[in-house]
This record gives sequence, C-alpha cells and structure tokens, in this order.
Amino acid sequence: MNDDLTLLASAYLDGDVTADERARVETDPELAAEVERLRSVRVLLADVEPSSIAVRESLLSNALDAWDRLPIGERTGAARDATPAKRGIDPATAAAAATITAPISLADRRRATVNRRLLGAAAAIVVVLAGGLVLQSAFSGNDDSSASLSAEPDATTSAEALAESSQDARAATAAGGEVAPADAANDSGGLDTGINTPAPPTETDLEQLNTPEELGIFASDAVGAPKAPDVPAATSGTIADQLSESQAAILAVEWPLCLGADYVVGPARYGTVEVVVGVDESRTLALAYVADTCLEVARARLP
Amino acid sequence: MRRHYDRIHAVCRRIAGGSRDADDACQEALIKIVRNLPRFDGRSSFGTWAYRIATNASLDELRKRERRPKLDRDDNTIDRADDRAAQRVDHVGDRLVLDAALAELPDDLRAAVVLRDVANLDYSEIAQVLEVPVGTVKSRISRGRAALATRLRLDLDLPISPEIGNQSDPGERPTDLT
Repeated sequence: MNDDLTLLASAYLDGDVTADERARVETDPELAAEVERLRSVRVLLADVEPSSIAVRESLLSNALDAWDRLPIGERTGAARDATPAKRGIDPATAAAAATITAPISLADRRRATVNRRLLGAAAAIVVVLAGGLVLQSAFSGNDDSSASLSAEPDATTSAEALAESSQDARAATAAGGEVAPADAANDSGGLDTGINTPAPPTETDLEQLNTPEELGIFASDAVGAPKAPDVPAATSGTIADQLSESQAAILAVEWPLCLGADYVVGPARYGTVEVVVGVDESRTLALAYVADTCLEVARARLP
Repeated sequence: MRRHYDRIHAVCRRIAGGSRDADDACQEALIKIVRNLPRFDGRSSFGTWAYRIATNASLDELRKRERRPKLDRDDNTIDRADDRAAQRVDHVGDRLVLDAALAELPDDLRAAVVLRDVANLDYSEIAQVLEVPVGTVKSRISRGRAALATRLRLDLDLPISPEIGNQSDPGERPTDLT
C-alpha cells in the first residue's frame, strides 16, 4: 500500500473525501482493507484507561490551588480589556468581551453574554429588528397609546410575544421605552470598539458578596423571593411585573448551569470577580462561579 | 475544567506515554490552563485551546524524559521490561504494547494522530494546535496511523510478534523448578 492510498484511506476514515474518492475506496477491496486497518488503530488509541479518582481529584485540586494563588485582579480577565487594535482580533468579539468586563446594568450584561456566545454583532441587530417588528405588529392592532402598555390586558400579550420571539430582555426594555443612551450606543450593532465604552459599573449594579455566608444569604433571599430575581432591573417595574415565572425562567436561561447548580438565582460580584450564583435542586447549596468558564469561586450552605 | 479533564488526561496519556509521565504532563497542563484562563480570548474553542496546552505539556514532558540522567533511564528500562512481559501474554490491544508503539512514533506524527483519534479534533483544529497547514495534518495522521498499524501488526491479524515478545536468551529465562 503506497502512501497515497494510505492517505486516501485515512481521509476516508475521517470523512474527508469527495464522492468520487468515497466510491473508489468502497469499491476497491485493498483500500477497504486499509481503511479497516487504520480504523483498528483509531479504536485502540481511543480506548484510554481513565485515571483513578484519587489522581484526578489530586490533579484538579492542585490546578484549583493555582487558581486561588492567582492575584484576584488577574482572574477577571484584565487582558481581555485590551483594545481590538492592540490585539488584532475581531472587533465584535472584543466588544462582547469588553461589555462583559465593563457592563452598565444587568440587562446589558445579559445582552453581552448572548452576543458573545450566539450572535455576534450582526445577529444582535437581527434580533433587535425582529423584536421591533413584533412590537410594532402588537401595537398596530391596538388603538391605545403605548403608555397604556403596562396597564392594558394586551400588554401581557406583548410581553409574552417579546419574550418568546427574542428571549432577550432587550425587547422588553424597548417596549417600556426605557433604553438608556448608553444602551442605544451598545445597540448600534454591538460593534463597541472602546470608543463608546459604557461608564464603569456602579457599586449598585451587582450584589457585592465577600464571604460564603453572604453568598448563602444572597442565594437564600433569591430563592425565597416571590419572583425570579434576575429579571432585568430595567424591566422590573413595567412589563416584568406581568411576566409569569416561566417567562422569567426563559429570560434566565442565558446563564450557564455549572458545577451541579440546577437553578440560577442571579449574577453577583464575589470579591472583585463577577459571578453567577446558582443553587442545587434541593436548594441547600449555593454556588458562585464564573459564567464563561464554570470555574467555582465560592460555595456555601443556604441558611 | 472537570468536564474536559478526561480528554485532557487522555491526550497526555497517549502523547507522554507512561502513566507517571502522563500524570505529570496532565498536572502541568491543568495548571497552565488555569493560569492562562484570564487570557483565553475565545478565538478557538475552549477544548481546542486546552488540548493545545495539553499537547505542548506532554511534548515538554517527553523532552524532559530524554534529558533525565541515566539512573532514570534505567527506571524506564524497567518499564520496558514490564512491557515485554505483558506482550508475552496479552493480545495486541494491551495498553503497554500500544504505549510502546506510540513511543516509537516521531513526536509530530504522534501528536497529530492523538489529537485526531483521542481528542477527536478535526483537521483544522489540529492545524491550529500544531501550527501547521491542514495538508500537513492529513499527511501526518495518515503516516502515523499506518506506522502504528504496522508496529501493532494489525495487517497480519496476529497477536504480538515473537520478536517483540520474549526477547531474552533462553539461558536468561527463569528455570522451571517443578
């Protein structure tokens, strides 16, 4: 078997062949045998015996110790705050990262997560436009002014439509006409290259937690709250009041569930690290972790 | 991290070889991943980025092993003797036989094959990790697999060959005392 034929058999095994090449391999017994020979190698290689639990836990524990020894400022990803020009990366990606590290509100943080993970700048525009169209169609069937939105029965319908169409608090915020100037800047395609960097977060943006006890109390309060606590602040006084729990849950799905957390109760700041706080199914354990990486920052029992 | 641990460890195990070296490489990789996490910019997937670190850590571990003084090499020789003992009685799937076959592959072929068949990365991701063109990746994977198949004598559908089975002289073999 010469190298070219082996190369063809290997590519076939990886599904990297044209239709002609595939037909050739499948009709040539020698090539088919070579594929099987290489497939056997792959099977053998993939069968790696797992490390023992003790070794695994030891290695992971040492790695987490290294994380603990990192200066707290380094953990928050200061390097990601560099301007795109300096780093030569896609501006949309940089904008999303910058929004994460310098958000102005819970709603913006949530938007940034969606932008970074799913959409990018262009897709975000599409979502906004789609939300706007849905909103416009909702209003067009109602002669009342938009100011009556929160008081009229149709308001709930509009809010539901918005939540279902975009699953994004942005739409609900737009419905309430409460888009802040900084929001508008961010909404211009998400291409924030640093020129329109929003103001630094105020101390009141995120719940500040410093100890596991505070984490436990925060989670406990959130779990006991009458409504999902991570409904965007900008909407909490208007449409969000009329969102059902399931709709609030839809808004909350942007936060990842990590480390055994079954519910997300909201974002917070633990020390200087922005975290997501989750609780387990039995609601006895609160977990604070970094959303991007699922790295645990702290955990506590709920009081 | 926990989610990716098994594959990171598998990559280290296959590239670095023996379990002790693999554990050392895996530990080094995990610590590097954690320390560099704040600088991870998302240009590649987390897995690709982590496997790149694991691959480099494993290759570093191999180089360290090459530099170890003779005393350590004796220790490795003992490992190889163990390999042979296993080969005498086990079939070709024996992990020690596979380790030996992998150890004889050049580093560049081994890394490419492992990233494809163990880490399950596609050609372009492997090209990113190894910083070589995709065509080179395909060629390395092909040559690596073929070399392994030959070493493992998969083409003959036989157990381990006598030549890599019991290689000691008859006079050195244990005497049957029964």
